[in-house]
Amino acid sequence: MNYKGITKVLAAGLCIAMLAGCGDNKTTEPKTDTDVSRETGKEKVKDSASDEKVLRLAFPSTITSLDVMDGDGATMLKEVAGVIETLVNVDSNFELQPSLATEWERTGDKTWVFKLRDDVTFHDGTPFNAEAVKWCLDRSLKDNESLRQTTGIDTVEVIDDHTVQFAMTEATGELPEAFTNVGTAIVAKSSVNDAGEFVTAVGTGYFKQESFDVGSGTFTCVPYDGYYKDVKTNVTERKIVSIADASTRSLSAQNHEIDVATDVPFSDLETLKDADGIQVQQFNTARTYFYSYNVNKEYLKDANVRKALIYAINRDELVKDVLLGVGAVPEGIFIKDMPWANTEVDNYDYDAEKAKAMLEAAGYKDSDGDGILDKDGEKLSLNIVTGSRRPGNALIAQATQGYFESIGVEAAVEVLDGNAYNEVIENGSFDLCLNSAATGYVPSASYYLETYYHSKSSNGKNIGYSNPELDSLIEQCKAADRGEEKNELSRKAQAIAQEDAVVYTVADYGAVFVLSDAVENFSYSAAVHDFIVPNEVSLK
Amino acid sequence: MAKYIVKRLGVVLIVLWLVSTLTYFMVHVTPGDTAKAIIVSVYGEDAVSEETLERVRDKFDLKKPVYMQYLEWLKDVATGHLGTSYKYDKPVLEMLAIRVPNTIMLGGAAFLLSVIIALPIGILSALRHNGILDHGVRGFVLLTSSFPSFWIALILIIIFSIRLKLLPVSGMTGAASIVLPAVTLSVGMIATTTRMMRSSMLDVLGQDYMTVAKLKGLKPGKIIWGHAIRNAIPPIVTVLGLQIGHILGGAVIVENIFSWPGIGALFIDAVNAKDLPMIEGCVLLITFGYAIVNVIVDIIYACIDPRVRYTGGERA
Amino acid sequence: MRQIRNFFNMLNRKNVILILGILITGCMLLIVIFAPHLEMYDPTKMSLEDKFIPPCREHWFGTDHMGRDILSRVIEGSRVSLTTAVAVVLVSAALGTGIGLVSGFFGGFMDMILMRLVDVLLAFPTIVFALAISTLLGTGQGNLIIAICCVQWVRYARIARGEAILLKNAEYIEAAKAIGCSNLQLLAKYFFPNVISKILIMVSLDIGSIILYCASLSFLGLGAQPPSPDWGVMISDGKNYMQYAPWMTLFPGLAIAVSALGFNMMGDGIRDLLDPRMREAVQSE
Repeated sequence: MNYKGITKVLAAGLCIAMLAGCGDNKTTEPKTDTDVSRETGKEKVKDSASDEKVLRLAFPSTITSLDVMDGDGATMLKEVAGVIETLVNVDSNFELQPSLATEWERTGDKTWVFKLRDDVTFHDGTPFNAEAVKWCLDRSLKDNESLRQTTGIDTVEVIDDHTVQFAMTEATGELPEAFTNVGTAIVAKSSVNDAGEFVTAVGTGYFKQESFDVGSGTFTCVPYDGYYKDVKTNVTERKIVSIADASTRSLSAQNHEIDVATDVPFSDLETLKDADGIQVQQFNTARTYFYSYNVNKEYLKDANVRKALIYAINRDELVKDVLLGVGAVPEGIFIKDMPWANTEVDNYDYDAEKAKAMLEAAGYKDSDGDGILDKDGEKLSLNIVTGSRRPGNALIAQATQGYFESIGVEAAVEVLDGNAYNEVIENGSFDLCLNSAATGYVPSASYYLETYYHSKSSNGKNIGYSNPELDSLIEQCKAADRGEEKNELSRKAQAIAQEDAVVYTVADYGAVFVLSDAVENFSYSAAVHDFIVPNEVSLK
Repeated sequence: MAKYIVKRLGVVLIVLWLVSTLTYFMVHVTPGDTAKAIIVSVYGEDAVSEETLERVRDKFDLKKPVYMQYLEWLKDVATGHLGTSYKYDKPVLEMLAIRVPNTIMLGGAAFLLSVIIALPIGILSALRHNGILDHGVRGFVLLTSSFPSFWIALILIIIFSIRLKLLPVSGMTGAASIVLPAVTLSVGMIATTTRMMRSSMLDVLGQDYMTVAKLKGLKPGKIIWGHAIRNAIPPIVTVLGLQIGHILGGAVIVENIFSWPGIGALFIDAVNAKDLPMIEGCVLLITFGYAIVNVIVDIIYACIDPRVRYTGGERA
Repeated sequence: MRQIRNFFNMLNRKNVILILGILITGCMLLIVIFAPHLEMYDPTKMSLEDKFIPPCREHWFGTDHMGRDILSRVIEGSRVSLTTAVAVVLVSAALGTGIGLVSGFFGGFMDMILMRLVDVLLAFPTIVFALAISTLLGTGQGNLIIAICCVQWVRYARIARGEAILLKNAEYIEAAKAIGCSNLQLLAKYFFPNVISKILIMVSLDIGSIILYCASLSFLGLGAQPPSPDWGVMISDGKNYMQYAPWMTLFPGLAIAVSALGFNMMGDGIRDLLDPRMREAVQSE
């Protein structure tokens, strides 16, 4: 009888336990049937000895949607999975290459005509044609405001089966460049269900979607038989796992759970150089870390104060010791591989003595002996704000604080996220803000300048930066057609911007990759958004 | 019994309403332009313009006064609509439904682990009161309740993933990947449950009927199984119910470190992006889960210990 | 074997846990007071040529990614982390006791409303609620204190209210009322002294877990901001160098654990000392 009591109690306890754990069966089962061989790394290696070759890739943010309008999802689908394609591609020399479009022409100030490939079919077997392009772009432009602004497209018109005409809202020579952006990738109508929801990515790429587990952000794709080009690879499946945390990505690669991981901690370059079965590589991208001075502040209107503070930053040491060599010391605004880069500009290389002298000339002295410079009774004290998304932001800001301290300038650092960051920027309670941006987001001579230096850009508005001469050069550059003349306009604009020293590039971005030794034919392009996995990547 | 259950469920509804209202007003009086926050988190800072602000305000109904928004929101929640996430532009309920099983799986594993370990240890250390095991357990409880879970997680990763290469670290990549997060999550619970089991058992051992049983000449094994444990377990059921709260709180940290795609990770994401509907959805769901589990615990407790039903259900 | 057990029993009678706890907490207090004198290096001064030095004779705990001495930072961090935790506990205890006493003393409608609020707040995991509040307040040490206090006061209010209700009907209170004590006098003279010992036990038991809460929230980036040597922030800084420089994570973590352990032991010991049931159990052995 007593034992009966105990069993009752135990049964009750088990009930709670099972209630808490009742999800187990539901969630594990679909997982096991989408991917039977989803076990630890070592077993994986055995698997690949048979004809199954699964390339496992880590994507650095959590994918919640495959919609081509969704930034992260589209980047993953195009650059990492190879499921969707854009009309135009950009190569590692920042030259445009035909992709789904074979040729294009600017037919007027505000009109463009694109010719499409005629041998392409979507993964559902339907033909890729002008109608499909119009349907997809109309949908994307309607719902994605940012895309509408970036491309400047007003209307899309079908000329014939494989010709499309675009009317623009303003004169631009940069539509082909805009069409390299992942947001403009073309998917078939069957991607969307009757309710208008995006359900499957039906693209034109070499790989086609096999499964997507939105709960864990895991995406798998397999080769598509009807692809229009020959691709030499032995990969039979690509599996993309979302891992948002840098250390976790690195550890997964070290444990051979994945084959390619990007943006792992900087120190991995050193830690993993002798690790078995993997190699670490560092690549520099067309992405910058840049400071913007809040020139709404009276004392920062003095160009000499701005320049003095730049002279205080030891950029060589910053890249070598703070970013641990992951990145590069910039020469001007753009990396020199970009055809329009102007590297003949003053970079204000580190010179602490000069910095001190310039500040003294501007009237700053340590009059009360507390080690901090002051002028008219006000201490020279700065507030540096930055976001947390890119790995170098907090590090560079902290180091800058140290450099400023050594010339007698006080600085506080705030690392903020999302809306908290925006609020500080909006109410202007900062002196310097540090950002990171892709200079080749749209691979044109004017895009980056227009987005961060123009007085009408949100950055320009936030910091109160306005130089009409610069604005006008940027606008002319944007309207001009691709070519040396356009590049020259951009170079002139860069010279003026660098002389103003309001927005200042402090370091070029670098990324560390961990690659499994089994990976072959991996190449890297500085021109892509984050990282690209070419169709040809194979496994040993 | 039915009346008791109905009464408890009624309380749950009231608590849910209060919590939802509290969070709703808390996040909606936040300074800053919500519409701008949405645009920046979905499309990036460059997309902010008067035109887009206007469109977003229309789309998310941000133009009406706050109390009107609240009433509409309340109506939606009552009919099962939790709104659309600002960040993901998807129904909150759908996002939650995707993530809930992962958290239940992790929480369930941690819960089972802690029960399996904590109950026997607690009982044994009470039986050998002031013995070596008892001191050891006391020390263990003190130690584990003093280490921050995120630190334990990092140390476990260093030992088991990096050095020994035994277990995977990344999110959900198979059965083995649940081990480290579940262990981390269970550490704090093991400490509390062991401590409670031990003191509940000590309580029972000190009761008069135990002496009576001894005097009656019952075998020690029978005394312990039949009397002591039987009477010591019911209070523990309540403690276990409260542990669900620890699981949910702990999940926020642990999921974040192990990239485990559950409610906790989603919640942190939402807090960082100031995704208001998502924050409200997460808080509502967590409260709901917690309240429901506690009702179930109360009912089980009432089944085990009939006195409760007649004294109005106030738990000890 | 028997000797070992006797040894433990003897220690137990002398409350070894309490003594150890007081010792550890006392040391922590001394460190907080004399922090500037104990630091061998400037805890916030960057010196990049000294980065990532493993623990050695010059730098006992090694250096971090900015070449700052971790021992000095841990010492300076005690001021940030421990004062935050102590502030949280004191503020919430004061607030909770006040509200609880008044509510229990006067009873009625206010009391009912208040207790429903307490139920609601108790229905929340602390971290979840503090995170939700931080959406409203933003990051920073002060905001972190407010966020945790918002949840924590409830625990004290509940205890204080319970005590107040028990006392309300005590004979000597009736007597005091009869001789014309005002409500305020009653609360100050009779209720407060009666409740304070329970609240103090609670404070000593809570402070360990509050240290952990604060550290967790700082780790998630909601407390003090990076250059500040807060222990939670240091661990989150060190996370990215976990393999390369594990000492960056190890030592601040140990600092958190040791101080939480000290307070937990003290709390445990005090409870044993004051909780009659536990004392009986020990004596009956």
